[in-house]
Amino acid sequence: MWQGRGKTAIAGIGYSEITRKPEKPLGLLAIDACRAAIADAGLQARQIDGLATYPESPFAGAGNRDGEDVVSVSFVLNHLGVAADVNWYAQIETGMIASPVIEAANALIVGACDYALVWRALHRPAPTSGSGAGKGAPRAGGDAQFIAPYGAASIVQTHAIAWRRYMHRHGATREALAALALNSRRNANLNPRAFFHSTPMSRDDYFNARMIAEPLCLYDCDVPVDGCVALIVTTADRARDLRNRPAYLAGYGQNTARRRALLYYTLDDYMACGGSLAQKLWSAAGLGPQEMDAAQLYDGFNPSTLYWLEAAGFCREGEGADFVTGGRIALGGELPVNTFGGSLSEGRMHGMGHIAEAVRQVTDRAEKRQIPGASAVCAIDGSPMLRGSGIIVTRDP
Amino acid sequence: MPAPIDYSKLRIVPDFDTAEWWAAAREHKYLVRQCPDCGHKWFPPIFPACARCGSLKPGWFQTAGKGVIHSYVVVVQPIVGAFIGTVPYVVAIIELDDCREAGGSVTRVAGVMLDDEPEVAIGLPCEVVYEETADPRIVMPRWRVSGSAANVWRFNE
Ligand SMILES: [Zn+2]
Repeated sequence: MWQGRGKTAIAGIGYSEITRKPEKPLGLLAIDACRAAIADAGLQARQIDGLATYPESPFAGAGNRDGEDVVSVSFVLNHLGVAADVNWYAQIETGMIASPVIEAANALIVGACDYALVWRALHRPAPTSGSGAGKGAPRAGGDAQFIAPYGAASIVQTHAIAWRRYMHRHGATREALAALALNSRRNANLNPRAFFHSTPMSRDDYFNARMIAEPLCLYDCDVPVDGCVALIVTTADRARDLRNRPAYLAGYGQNTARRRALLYYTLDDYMACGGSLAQKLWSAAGLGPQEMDAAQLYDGFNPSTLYWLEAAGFCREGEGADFVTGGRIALGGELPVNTFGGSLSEGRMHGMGHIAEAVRQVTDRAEKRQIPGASAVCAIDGSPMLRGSGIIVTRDP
Repeated sequence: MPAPIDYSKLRIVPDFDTAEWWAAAREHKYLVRQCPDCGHKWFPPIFPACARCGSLKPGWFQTAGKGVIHSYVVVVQPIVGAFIGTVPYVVAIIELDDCREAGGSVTRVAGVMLDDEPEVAIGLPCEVVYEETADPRIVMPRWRVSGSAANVWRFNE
């Protein structure tokens, strides 16, 4: 068991507007989210003495201007009015979205800071940026020498290749992805922050959607948005004096396995790589999949949720497609999944929405989606064969 | 009928690790990296060290360019400018016949199939063909289905 189990907590959540038509730059949306998280915790900005983010642009070649395309530690340090003398910061590019939360927890445990602000800001780049589509001859150097000439510059195509292999290997069909997409949309319809809050989706809507990279269709892709989600992480003792019930951090894991596939990762090793994260997650918390009241599982592309159900041990390898049909993953089911709508229907917050919802569920703040008495919920991000990080939050320390 | 790939919309820039690969492709040779110490093979050649034994002096192996389709995607929405007129097209991941190693690993390459896309399926054998581009320095390997699925080797998953 992790010796830091229950010693830190998430004490505040802040959302900016999640929009496809932003009226201000990403940096200002991030400031909105950070201020909201600070206010939600009942703190003042000047009390924030720790800062951490996962700043990466959503795809290779996307823009990199601070405050426009990405929001760095430096941007928030300069524009939020945090403590005059910040004691700790980190800008994480390994693992994934939970990784800065994990780093903040470890920093808090050793006393490096008192109140850490963690955010993830995401910009929706212009559809052609980075690819040079229709604009002369873009440079294909480095990795791109062996990607761009194959017309395969987007990760959606990589995911389509992996999903086709999954269907072949396990005999699954698109019905499994439809079940996941519809589940997420129903949950988003109960989430006032979700991009698709007011837009229901039927089974026909799913199957009639246009293909993007066959066999993945439009509704298998997360919805690219501009927005930011921020969290306050602090010690358990401090959290108990704040405004909200704390969501205690029970354990974490990060994907550390070496994958065999290099540039063209496919389905290979999704169990081993995802399992490397899950094994650490469960043993850190002293909890197992059976003890989760809900699972918030990354869905940047829809099949990833299915892979995580297997890799994290909620079902056996190859049984994910059966697992997600028949209502088991719905609110009120045996294992509610992505109860806030996921990235598919809330918007592409890269796993921060997953963490925020896990926090809400164990603190009775999940609105119409509340699972009565939820005591332990995991949030896992990334795609298991590639990367990832995950945490478990609990009602009690 | 989809338009050909417009390679003029792609400026391929070989580098220290890859110049020899592109030079071989001009001579219709398909190279993968091979470790001189342990024999491990890998692709693409942008990784300058052996992932198996750590050797930092990778060499080359010339493959016969025959393999099996591991999986593929039918790209409907083009993202790379050179392919805007080419949709739909198939990008396949191919497991090379002569790059199978003990323990079940195999070297995989990616490539665009020729216009026999309707035939494409996981497990079919395929072979490389070379496509000249307007740039004499760049010859692009592509792939075509070369037989039926009988008796194909299966990757050890
Ligand atoms: Zn070696």
